[in-house]
Amino acid sequence: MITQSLRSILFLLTGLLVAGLLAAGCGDGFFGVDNPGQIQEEDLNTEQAMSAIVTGMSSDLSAELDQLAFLGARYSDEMSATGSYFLTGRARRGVLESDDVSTYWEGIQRARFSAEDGIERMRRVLGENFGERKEMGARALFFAGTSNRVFGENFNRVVFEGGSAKPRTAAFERGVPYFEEAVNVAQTAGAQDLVHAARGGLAQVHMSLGNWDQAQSYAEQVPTDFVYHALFSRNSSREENEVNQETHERYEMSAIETLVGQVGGEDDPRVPYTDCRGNAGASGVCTAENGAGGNNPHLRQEKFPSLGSDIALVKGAEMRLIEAEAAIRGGSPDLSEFTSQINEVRNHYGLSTISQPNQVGDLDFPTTQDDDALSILDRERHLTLWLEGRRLNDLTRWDHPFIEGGALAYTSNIASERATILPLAESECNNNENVQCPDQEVYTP
Amino acid sequence: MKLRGAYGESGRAPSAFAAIRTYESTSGDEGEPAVTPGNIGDPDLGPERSREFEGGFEASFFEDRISASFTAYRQRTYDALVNVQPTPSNGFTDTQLRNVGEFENRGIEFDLDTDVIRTEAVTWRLGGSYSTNFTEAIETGPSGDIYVGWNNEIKEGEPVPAVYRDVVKNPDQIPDDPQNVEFEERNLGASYAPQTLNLNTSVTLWEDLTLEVLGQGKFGHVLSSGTAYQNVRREKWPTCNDIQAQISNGDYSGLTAGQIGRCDPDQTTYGMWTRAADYFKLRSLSLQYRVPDQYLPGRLRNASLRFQGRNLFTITDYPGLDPEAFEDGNRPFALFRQEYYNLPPVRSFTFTLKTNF
Repeated sequence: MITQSLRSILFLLTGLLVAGLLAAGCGDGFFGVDNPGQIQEEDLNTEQAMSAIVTGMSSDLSAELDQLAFLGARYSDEMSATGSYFLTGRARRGVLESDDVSTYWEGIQRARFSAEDGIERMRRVLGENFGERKEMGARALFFAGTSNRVFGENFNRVVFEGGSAKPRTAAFERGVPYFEEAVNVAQTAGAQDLVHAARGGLAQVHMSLGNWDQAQSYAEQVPTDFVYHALFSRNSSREENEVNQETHERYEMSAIETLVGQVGGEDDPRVPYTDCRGNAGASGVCTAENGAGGNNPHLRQEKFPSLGSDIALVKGAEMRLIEAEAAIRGGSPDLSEFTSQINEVRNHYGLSTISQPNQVGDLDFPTTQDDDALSILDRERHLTLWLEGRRLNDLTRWDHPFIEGGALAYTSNIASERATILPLAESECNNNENVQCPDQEVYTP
Repeated sequence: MKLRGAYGESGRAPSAFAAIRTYESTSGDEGEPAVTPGNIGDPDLGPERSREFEGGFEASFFEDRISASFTAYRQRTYDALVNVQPTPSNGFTDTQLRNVGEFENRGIEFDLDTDVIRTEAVTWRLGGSYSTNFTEAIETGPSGDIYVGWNNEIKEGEPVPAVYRDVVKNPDQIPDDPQNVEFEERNLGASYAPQTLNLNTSVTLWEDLTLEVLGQGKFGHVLSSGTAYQNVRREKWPTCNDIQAQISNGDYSGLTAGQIGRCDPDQTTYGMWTRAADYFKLRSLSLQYRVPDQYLPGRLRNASLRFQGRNLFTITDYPGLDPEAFEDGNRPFALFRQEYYNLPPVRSFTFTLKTNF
């Protein structure tokens, strides 16, 4: 009797278990795979994998863009290194050597390869012109162009596929055909945002190559209110915005004693910050008054208030600034056109307009009080593109007096001589027989 | 006494997927599935092979009151499998398993156990072991030096791997320009300790009270103290307080290049805090008392009390947190170590009451 009862109970339990498994199997929860681990390359050669490949391009670019924006801000005149990381002291002195930049080099190389190799795979699987997935193809092409643009804007020399070191202009030149094809493919797909984004990319790389006619002609086709972002989110730590992490979660760099510290805050929507002095603790919004180093006030940037804040890759406002710069390059500068473009940017952000400068002038350091065209351009690009990973390129291509280190920045002893652009990384030198790093790689214009 | 001798060959196959190019799953575009380059792969990857000779003896003397064993060995590994960093400009940044050349391991293992006193009232045992394992890269293949990450490299004629970092050129001299002390890259030593020493002793009185002591040590290697280096940067490292107070006033007078290189927050390097990590630790000390049968309550068959302390003290000149507090980096490099806010083995005290009914 007891044995029969036990059998009945076991039969019932087995039935419930099977029913439960079948019910759970109907949803994604039970049989769903969260992380398939390593994926063999050949398994990506399917149309179904293309979406993940292009998202990977986006992810790899975002994962490095914010890192470069953070490092570039500390090493340029955008922010003061007021934290406690080991690079803080070097950043204050402008010392940046090959062994400081390996992870940044590797990150942007991965983003570049991810896009370029992914495009080749897409062509093999979808066809030379991306078949029915033209919008996806245009986005991939934009990422390939942009990763080359970011590479060239941040490193003194560039290397591709284990070859020899080349001037950074090689990265800009490499980006051009990707952007050009992106424009064409996006037009075919009817993806106007990607058309604007790719034209903006072309304007950016031609600007850095000094091709002002082409830069101007691409820039003028992008509306002032257009923005195309690199995406960030709080979904995973890899997707988080590092600039926010290092200024809100940690207090590693501050706007103290920078141009933004002088003119930003509530007065300019491009460069918002919170002054943590007297604004910390239970009654304030900051966790501390000083940076993580403990010695300098924390002026907390609010441009990226969240770990999920996106960073602009292409902005119409920058296109106007490219047009403004194009207007004063060459033998007969057009100061009226220059002023018009600058004021369109300022109007866009609700700022007062400026008067036409009397001369092109020279770059000075610091620049806050100068009213010649170059100083205005310097100031407007600085503020409009703040913390977007663009400043090192401007300092370098202008051979800005800031990079000479001849004077203290903005009054005090926090910011002094700074490096201008990142050197070729030690990890490339150590693993590429075609490349040699000097003991201390330095920028040579 | 027994004499021993042996020769052996063995192989080790690479791990699954190591030879093929793979991608890793990740996410992007606000949580959408994505892939990113993973392992670059190596279609020529094969097994590593090892050949080893060893010889030695086992012996005991004075009615087994002294026993000893000794082994000397020499092992050659061919086509050694090592995780190395691939060329970054090829787009893959994870380490790559490669057959990189020929390494040699050689050393000895010596064990000694003695019954110093063996009477009914007192037993005192004393023992220990000493072993060495010296590594050397005999050949590193056509690529030359092998970079395995975090400034660790494999170079012919040097330990596998060794740490190469910047240190001041003339540490004992007063520098001409104290704000720009000259540095140079040097081989600072092996990442892995080539010498290990264990010592143990136990004393038992009247078979009831036993004291056991175990000490362990490692010697001959270096470790980078990221904790010390970072906190010198933050001007928060106690051994640099006085020098930093002087430097903060712009006064470098009397300071040697070594003192500046270690403590100047703007000039110090990881190399200046990569130091000998020799240590010897009192790993365990325990006292156990077996309750004599005549004192046991009626139903208890036996009972004992034991008090043990672990990691009670450390003898070391290592300037960081602890010579045993280290990580293997934040990427899957297999061969290097650094100390960076890692917890050392904790000091603990345990009291145990054990009974059988």
